[in-house]
Parts: sequence; structure tokens; C-alpha cells
Amino acid sequence: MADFTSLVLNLNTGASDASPTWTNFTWAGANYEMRLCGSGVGNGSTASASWFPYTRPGTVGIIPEMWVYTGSDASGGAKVTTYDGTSAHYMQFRINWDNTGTYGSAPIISAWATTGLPAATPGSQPGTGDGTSAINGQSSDTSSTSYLKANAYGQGLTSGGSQQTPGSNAAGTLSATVGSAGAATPGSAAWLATWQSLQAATQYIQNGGTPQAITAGLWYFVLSQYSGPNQTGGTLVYQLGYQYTWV
Amino acid sequence: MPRRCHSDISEMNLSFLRRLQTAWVERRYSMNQINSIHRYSKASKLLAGGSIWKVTLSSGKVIEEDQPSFDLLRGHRNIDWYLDIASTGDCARIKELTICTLAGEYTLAISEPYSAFQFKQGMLSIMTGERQANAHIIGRVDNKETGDCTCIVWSSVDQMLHTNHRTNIHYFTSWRRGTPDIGAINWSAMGVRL
Repeated sequence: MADFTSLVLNLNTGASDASPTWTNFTWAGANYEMRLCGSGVGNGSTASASWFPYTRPGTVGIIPEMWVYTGSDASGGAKVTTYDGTSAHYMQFRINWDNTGTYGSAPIISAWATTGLPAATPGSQPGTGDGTSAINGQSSDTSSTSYLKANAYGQGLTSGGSQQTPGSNAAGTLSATVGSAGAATPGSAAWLATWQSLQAATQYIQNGGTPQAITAGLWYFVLSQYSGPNQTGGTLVYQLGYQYTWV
Repeated sequence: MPRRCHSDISEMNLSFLRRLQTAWVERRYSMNQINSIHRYSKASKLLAGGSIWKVTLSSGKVIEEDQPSFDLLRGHRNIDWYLDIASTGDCARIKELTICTLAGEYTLAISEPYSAFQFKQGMLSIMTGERQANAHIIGRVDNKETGDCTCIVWSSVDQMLHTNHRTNIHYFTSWRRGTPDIGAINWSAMGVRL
């Protein structure tokens, strides 16, 4: 089959993990995006260019708040309520695909400095902050793993067509320095025991199987964004991606 | 009265479907118009940095991605690898598999039935919701016991062609540094039989 007619990110803009409200996030244009900020700082009516700066911390820590602007640059922004950067959540994001496509392999979640999908240079910080500031990480702050961590639940949709949906927090080991070379693959109907760093082709999450053909499905994952004293500041825009193949 | 056997019914249905398909298509466009639309669509795709596959069957017939096609279940649609090659048995009759790109057309000679495959790679940007095509791969399994294969990869991200990517269908390695290994590919859905 051709590419999926519908393949979108859903964000939980509801009040809790137990009562999620899934909001479609489809491409609408520049500045319709996810944005991070300090606790209690963000709102739903600020343009991307004026978004609140996050002061570089004195010690490595989590950036605790995330907002999403799905239909306008400066209005209608919604908070991803269940994101606080900790492992005590299970309904933050999910990839949602329809029944029109057939996967050619197990999908991958990773992050790149730009849409050109460059290789990462682990530990190397740029002179002026950009996407590489977050993706490359830094030796003292993150042991040269990415500042962005993720965990994913099971296979989403198995090759046999069973949907795997989390019912409890991701938990597991999460810190600024976690991350293993190559693919981290969640077991069937389980979270990763240790969160994975998202660093281009160096460190990433790969599904444990190829989801069943021409069958709609959902793959759940959670995120944690760190920052640290040795991270180069600036406008740190990077690409967090769901990489997939189709026949 | 003898009962009509299953194969008779299949042949009758096939003949009927072909007549219906021809009538259905000709009702809307002449073949010249259809070919013009396809050529325009192909040129647009290549100019946008994309690519298409093309197969030449042992009969000499050429089938190209996005050519107009039709079936009763889906109606008017474009030629699709899974529906028109992998599911029809034509993957046993492929003589050549070609990838057409702005950088030119490159062909893999195919000698063994059910050894040719193709797939595409793309990305959904989780930060913006945008989808982008990254690469198009055509390949030939050279050794069905080991899964070793030879591929041609059009990387639309950086507009680079990799003409001799040797890897394995049970662990498909990456063709560029920034792209993770793909791992095992869904070869059976692509028409490969080991």
C-alpha cells in the first residue's frame, strides 16, 4: 500500500493521564509547534518569536513545562498538562495511524538538529545555540548523550494486530545521563526500564516489531527535556521525529 | 448440466473486469490524456526532489509508479507496488527494477523471481506535525539463504544517490550517517519470497 493517508501526533491536552483529551497535531505552517518553558511561565497566547526564555540553570535539570500551538502562532496554545519532565506519567503523546498503509519495518523515534537529519556529534556544543545544543549533549551535563530523553510503551500495534496501551506510569531509570548506543527497544506491553537519549542515529528508540499491515494503531511515548550549565543558549529548535517506512 | 468450475468463473470475471476497467477509464479520459497527466505528475514529483519506481517485466511490459489504475474495490487509483506488483504475482516476472530521480534513472537487473523489492522512508515531525519523505530504496535479494541484497537509494533529504548499497533484508543498515539503521524489513509485504 502507499503511504498512510493519516499519520499524526496526538497530544494529551486533558487534565490527567487517567482522563486524556487527545489533540491532533497536524502540519499547519511555521511557528505552529511545541514549546518548552519554566514552570508556570507559559500561556496560550504568545507568538513563537516572543516565547519565554528559559534561563540556563546552574545545575542540570528538567525543563518542566510544554505547550503546543496547533492552529495559530500566537493564540489557541494548549498546555500538555501531563508533561512535567518526570517519569510519573503515561499519557503524553501517541503516534496515530490509519488503516491505509503498510509498514516496511519497525518505526523509530529519534531527534535531529535540523530537518536535514544530520549525524550528531556527541558532546559537542556549538558556538551559537541551535538544534545541536540539545541533540549533541555535553560531557559534564549529560555524558555526551542528548538533553532529550524518551520512553515508549510496547509495540503500539503488534504484528498480530493487538493494540498495546499503557495503564501506568513509565517509571524506570531517568536522569540527564541515561542513553545507550543504537536502538533501545521496549519489550511487549512494557515501558523501557531505562529511558533512552534521542540523538539522531547514535541513540534512539525502535519499535520491537513491524505493526500489522493496513490496520490502524497507536504507539504511546513520553518525553523529558533537560538543560544544563554547559549547554549553549540561543533559539534551540530541533527536530523530534517518528521515522517509518512504507511499501 | 455440468457445473461451472472455479477457474472458469475466475476467467470470466477477469475478462469482465478488464472490459469494465477499460470502459470506465475511457469514459473520462482518452489514453493520451491519461498519459499526459501521468507524465506531468511524474515530472512534478521528480522536480520536487522525489523519485518513482519502474519495473520491466519479462514480457516487455513496463509498469511505473503512479500510472493510472483501477479496481472495483478502490475505484480509480494509481499503480501501487503492494497491490499491483507484490499481490499479483508480477514480482515473479520482473526483469528490471529502475528508480527514476532528478539525478537520472538507475536500474537493477533481476534474474530470480520474487527477489526484487522497493520501499520508502519518511518522517513525521513530532515538534511540528509535518511529514517529509526522506528516501526511496529499490533492491534485489542476491542470496535468499542469507538475505544479502544490493540496493539503490535515493536520499531526498540531501538529494544524494547511493548506487551500490549492500546490506541484508534481515538487518537493513543505513546509507547515511544521520539515519538510523532500519533493521529487519517487511520483505514478505514487498513481494519477496525466500
